[in-house]
Amino acid sequence: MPTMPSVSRLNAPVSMVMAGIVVLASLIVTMSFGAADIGLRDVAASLCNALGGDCQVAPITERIVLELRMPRALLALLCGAGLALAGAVLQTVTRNPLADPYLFGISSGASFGAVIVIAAIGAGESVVSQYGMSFGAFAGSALSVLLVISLAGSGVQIERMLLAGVAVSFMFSAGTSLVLYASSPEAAASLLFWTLGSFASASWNKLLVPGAIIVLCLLIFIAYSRPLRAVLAGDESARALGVEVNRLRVGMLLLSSLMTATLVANCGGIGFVGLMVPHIVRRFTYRRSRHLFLACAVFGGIFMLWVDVLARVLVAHSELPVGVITAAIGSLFFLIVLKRRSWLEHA
Amino acid sequence: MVQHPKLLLRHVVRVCIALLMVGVFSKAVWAAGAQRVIALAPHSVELIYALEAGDRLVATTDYADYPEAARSVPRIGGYHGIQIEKALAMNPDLVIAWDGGNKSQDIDRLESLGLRVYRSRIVSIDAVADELRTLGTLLDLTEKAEALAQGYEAELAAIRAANANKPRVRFFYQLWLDPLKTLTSESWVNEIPRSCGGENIFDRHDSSAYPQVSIEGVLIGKPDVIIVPSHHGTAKAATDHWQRWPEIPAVRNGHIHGFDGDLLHRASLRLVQGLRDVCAVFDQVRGEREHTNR
Repeated sequence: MPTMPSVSRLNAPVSMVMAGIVVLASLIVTMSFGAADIGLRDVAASLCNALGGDCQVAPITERIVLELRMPRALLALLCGAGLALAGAVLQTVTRNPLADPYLFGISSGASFGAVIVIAAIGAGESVVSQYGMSFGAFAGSALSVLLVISLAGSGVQIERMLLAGVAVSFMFSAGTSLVLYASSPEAAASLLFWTLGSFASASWNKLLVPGAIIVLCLLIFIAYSRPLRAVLAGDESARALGVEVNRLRVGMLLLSSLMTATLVANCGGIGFVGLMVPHIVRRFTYRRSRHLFLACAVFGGIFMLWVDVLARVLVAHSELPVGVITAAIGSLFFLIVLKRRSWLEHA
Repeated sequence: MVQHPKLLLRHVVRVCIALLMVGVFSKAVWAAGAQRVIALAPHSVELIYALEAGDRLVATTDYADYPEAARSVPRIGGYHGIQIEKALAMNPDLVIAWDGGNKSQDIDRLESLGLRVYRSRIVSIDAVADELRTLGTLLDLTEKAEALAQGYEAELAAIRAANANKPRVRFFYQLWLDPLKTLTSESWVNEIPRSCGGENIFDRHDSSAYPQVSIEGVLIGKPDVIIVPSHHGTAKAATDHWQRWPEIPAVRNGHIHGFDGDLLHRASLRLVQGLRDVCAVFDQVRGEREHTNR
């Protein structure tokens, strides 16, 4: 399939600066959406004060912008970036364009961990239980990744891993359903909401861990982008170039799982982003571009920022879970891609 | 075609007598009211015990825990559904189903199996009186039911009259903490704080009864009281969560109050107690307001 003119042939620093500007602009504009009547001017004034300036804005407005909207926007940005990045890495390492961050039962494992916590402590009842849910979700994801890796065996073949992922996913889904059945309706509703994903409970504290992990992983992926591109050409040719394919594969899987598990633990199960964003970005950059990962992170972050805006404004006086919107967009996207493919084949 | 008119007449008379006896017998059954009752809603159970007909209950569902005697009634289901076989085996002559609380497939199934089903549907706090009257007719306890219903209506009227002209108190009804859910004026439960002279900060008719809302929405609503019904979280947890926002009058003045959820969400006679509890809190707020304004 012919690729579009490569943007990566543009001056890399120029692209990065442009990306940075778009991210900043998106952040500021998306922060002007919300239940309270706070527009761009108030957002700008609050930011001005935060940076040490002295701008006119009501104290409550400033608090809302800096303590509610800003952490929320940053969390959405991080989540989108992280999921897109994980998707890009997994698709590269498994040479499978349908690879998804949730491939290894991460989402099911996280739901299972979260529901155990809900059943034990009680859902949404206290701050302890909120952190407890994140911890439980992370533990569940970690467990599912370990199970998949141990089931996949020492050869770490792609096909076995994918199958193991599916099996583990089913197993945790069954477990979740069982625990839910025995819980109260409120717990069931709470878990359903959590599964669909939301940034509503974002706070500055919650940003620390995901932020650190995503930035760290991004740097590692960029550092390893050459060996990863070698793997894209095939296991044998990669080995011929001196790449330890199995170790690289397992390492990348573990890292992207770590990232995904952290994000799911903090934001719930938001699907399709990791699957869709790399596809979109690959259309506009050369497939083996070394800027692919960074581009995915940036595009994923901006995408998620605007999806969160939709979540806040689509239904009057209420909020939709983010996962519902990404699922709708994602399914539409793939329908279009499949349609285009069949047109091209028949053309 | 009449070949033996006398024989025919004898047959006709026999049939008439039989029908008459069936009619009398049914009337006798009807007059005695239902004797074996399955109540599939906790509020119906409470009302039946209020009518002193608790001994007629043969089965109920999981959450029927008031009065104490109700706990020993056999359970045949709960949130996840009703065990239809067990219901049939109990051989009830009346099933009180909960429209909105039981799965509609279960209710339809019971009806299609020939059981006599009454669908209880609560649309307002006043409906409890009508519910009592209907139960009175079904159980043939009309006098007792009428007395209880009138007593309930009188108490409601008294509370409403007492609060009609008091200054409004703005409230936020915290149905759930994470996600943050509330109830609007689309829900009948809203009438309880409203009858105490309250104003729901999410008083809207364009949204659903139980929308998910944001912290921002509560901040701009500036409620004087945050109502936390007990089986949806504790007041302590809510206080911990909201203390970051002293801009909210309810937080600043320490008016995040827990209430027994059964007294606010169950359509039984205990709603009056729930009303009194909420009104007491609102009066406290008004008292403090007056005190600071002096």
